[in-house]
Amino acid sequence: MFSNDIVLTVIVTTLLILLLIAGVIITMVLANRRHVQQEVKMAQMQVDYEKELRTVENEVQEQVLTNVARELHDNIGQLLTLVRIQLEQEKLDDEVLAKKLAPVDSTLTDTIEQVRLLSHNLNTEYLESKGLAYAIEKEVNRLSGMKKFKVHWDYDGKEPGFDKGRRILVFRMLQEVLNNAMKHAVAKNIYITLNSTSGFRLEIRDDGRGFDKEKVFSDGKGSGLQNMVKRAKLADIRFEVESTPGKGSIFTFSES
Amino acid sequence: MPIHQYLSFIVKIIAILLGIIYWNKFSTPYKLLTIQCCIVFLVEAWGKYLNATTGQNNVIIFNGYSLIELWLLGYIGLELISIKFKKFFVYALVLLTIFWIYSYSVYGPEQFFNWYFVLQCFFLLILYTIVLITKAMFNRKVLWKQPLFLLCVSLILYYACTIPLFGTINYLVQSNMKMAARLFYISHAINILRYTLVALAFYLYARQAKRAYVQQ
Repeated sequence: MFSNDIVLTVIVTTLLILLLIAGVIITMVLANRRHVQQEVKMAQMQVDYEKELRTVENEVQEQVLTNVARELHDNIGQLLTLVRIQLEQEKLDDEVLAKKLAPVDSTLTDTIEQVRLLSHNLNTEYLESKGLAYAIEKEVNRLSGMKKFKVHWDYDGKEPGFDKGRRILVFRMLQEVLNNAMKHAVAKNIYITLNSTSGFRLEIRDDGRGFDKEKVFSDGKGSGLQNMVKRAKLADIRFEVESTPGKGSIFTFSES
Repeated sequence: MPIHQYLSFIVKIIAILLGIIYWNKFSTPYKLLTIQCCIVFLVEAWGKYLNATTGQNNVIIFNGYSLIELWLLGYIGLELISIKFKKFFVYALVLLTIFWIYSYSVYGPEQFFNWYFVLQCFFLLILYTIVLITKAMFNRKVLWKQPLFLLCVSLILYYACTIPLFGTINYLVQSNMKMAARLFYISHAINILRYTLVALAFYLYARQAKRAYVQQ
């Protein structure tokens, strides 16, 4: 009888412990679920905040660039035109001087054209009216004018259906890639392809010296690249980089 | 052999097989746990064989195994626990080993060291409860999808639920051997649950390690 009591005590105690552990585990699972939901909510809030912050940053940047573009067009551009008129006048008065000033005149013409194109490319108001393809074409013309590398432009004739915000972001990313190519790649040829027939795809390929993608990202040196990643996220665009040292680079922007 | 004993062996075999298949993906604690599963399987099979064929007292094997288990599971716990708790558990591990030697010298190898086993249960319970709370509970992942959570729960369940049984086993064996043998059903039932959770933990760990590798 005494032994039976012990047996019963063992069984009941074991069951009680089992129930207690089950209760504790259920409580833990529920607490964890609440914790995970809270974390997800906070992460989402952080993402939204960063997105908002970046949007404001971009708007401010665009405003500054528009003002610079206006200054270039209305002020520097006018002054350069005035210099050219004065030069023309001097050339009319003196034929020898006209011959001497011919190269200066040519450089001045190029400078005026470059300032005009630069002002055009900094000002994004026309992106809304004329579209992304037109803006890229203008940028291609500007870069070709610099004669640092050959730019090959290929376009399927279909404008991507983006709103102004996305167009600006894509255009700025393209400018960043081209700027990087100009500064670091030492490329001879740059191939830009815009395709929108079967979904948006913009590819910029160069035959420059390339770079070690992993190293650039891990060293934290590629602030331009990091910036592009952030901008691509903001525009909801997929951004891919392929690069091998000595074999050039390919930057692709596509619909995510 | 009753069905629950078969089941207990089967889940252990499944856990061992999963441990061997995913061995390369495992970290040290999971590798050690696979070794522990193999040892427990061999010890149980050997004990069963001794008891069934020669009728010999197999307690001597389980007494020996309990020390191996203490060190294996203790070491796994120390690998998983935060550094600030480590020192305390190392001391406890050494003290428990001394207590095992003391039990051996007092009771001899043929009597189950029930007080030692109860202390071992408390030690492992506290160790894995701390691991569970500090490492698994406040993780961003869903709790029941974490191998560490399943591992801790399996051990906590086993060692908490077997305290009443193993604490009184010597008395029960002396007073009513048949009843004691029937009460062993508790140990087998919890063993089934324990090794099912261990097998699941192995599977989840390997799957998550594979996914992490692919993402890399």
